[in-house]
Amino acid sequence: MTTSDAAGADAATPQITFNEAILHVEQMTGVIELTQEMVDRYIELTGIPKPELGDGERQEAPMAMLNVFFTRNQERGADVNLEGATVGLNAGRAIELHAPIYVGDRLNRYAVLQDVYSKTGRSGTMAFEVWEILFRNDAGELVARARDSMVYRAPGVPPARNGEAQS
Amino acid sequence: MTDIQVHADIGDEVPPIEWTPDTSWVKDMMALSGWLNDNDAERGSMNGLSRFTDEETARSEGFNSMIVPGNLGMTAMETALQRWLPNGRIEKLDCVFRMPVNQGETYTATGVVTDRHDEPDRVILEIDVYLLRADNQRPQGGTAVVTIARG
Repeated sequence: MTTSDAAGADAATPQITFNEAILHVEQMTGVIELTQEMVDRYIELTGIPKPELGDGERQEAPMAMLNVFFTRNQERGADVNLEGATVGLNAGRAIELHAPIYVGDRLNRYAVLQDVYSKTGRSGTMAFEVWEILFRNDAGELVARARDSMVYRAPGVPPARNGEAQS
Repeated sequence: MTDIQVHADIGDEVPPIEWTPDTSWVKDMMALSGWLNDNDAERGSMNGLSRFTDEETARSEGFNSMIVPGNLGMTAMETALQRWLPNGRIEKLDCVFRMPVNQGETYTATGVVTDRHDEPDRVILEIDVYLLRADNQRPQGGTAVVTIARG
């Protein structure tokens, strides 16, 4: 664990402490096999129209279905250990397909912690974790990528005031 | 249907759908991803999960009621898009989660086409998408890129 100045932090923003050893390190976090049963269940639950397939045409998995497979507990490898973080919320997500993903595909999922920073506003200090989630097929090709932001309230060490030493 | 899709143009509205994510739906989606085990019990003691499945925990964390995992709101926007453009492929979906989505509340998922690029073999649409609450707040929103192959 090391202490880091938050990116873009100003004088009023506390330092945040987290496990920097995992920053920018690609961690394997699981294998997903997209079975017909899973895709059918997803379509049933979401109400997405079931595709009409031609002879020999393979069924693509719905794009946002991938989204379901990087829920918070699954996407991460080693923990960030963000000091003082309390209630965390998912702040946003972007998913990009790089190649079609089909029923029956096996995807290897990797997580990379890309950034940790804090912001202080009227409501207090919030810390943000930015993760990149990568899905590769068995050939090692990147088929999808996502960026995921988590926000935590009240993290870190309070900022020094009027020359007060920062511990 | 193909004509409607390929003729989709700037300013067109994504036909709105109503979406009411109740607890049962949330649990089913979480189970699908392996987030919940087969017995609907939470795996281990992961912090933050119970706000999705336990009313008391949700309130203790400052929420009015159980909330929906942020990522699941994106499925409603995906559904609205795919119902309108069933042969379209969503290549990108980028959403900001501005406020919690409450279980049992009804939201409208919709959007509007903001740009269109014509290529020889396909049309690419850029679409602003969002969830709309009854009080006209937008707890989630973002952009989608959808490609439609020319038939």
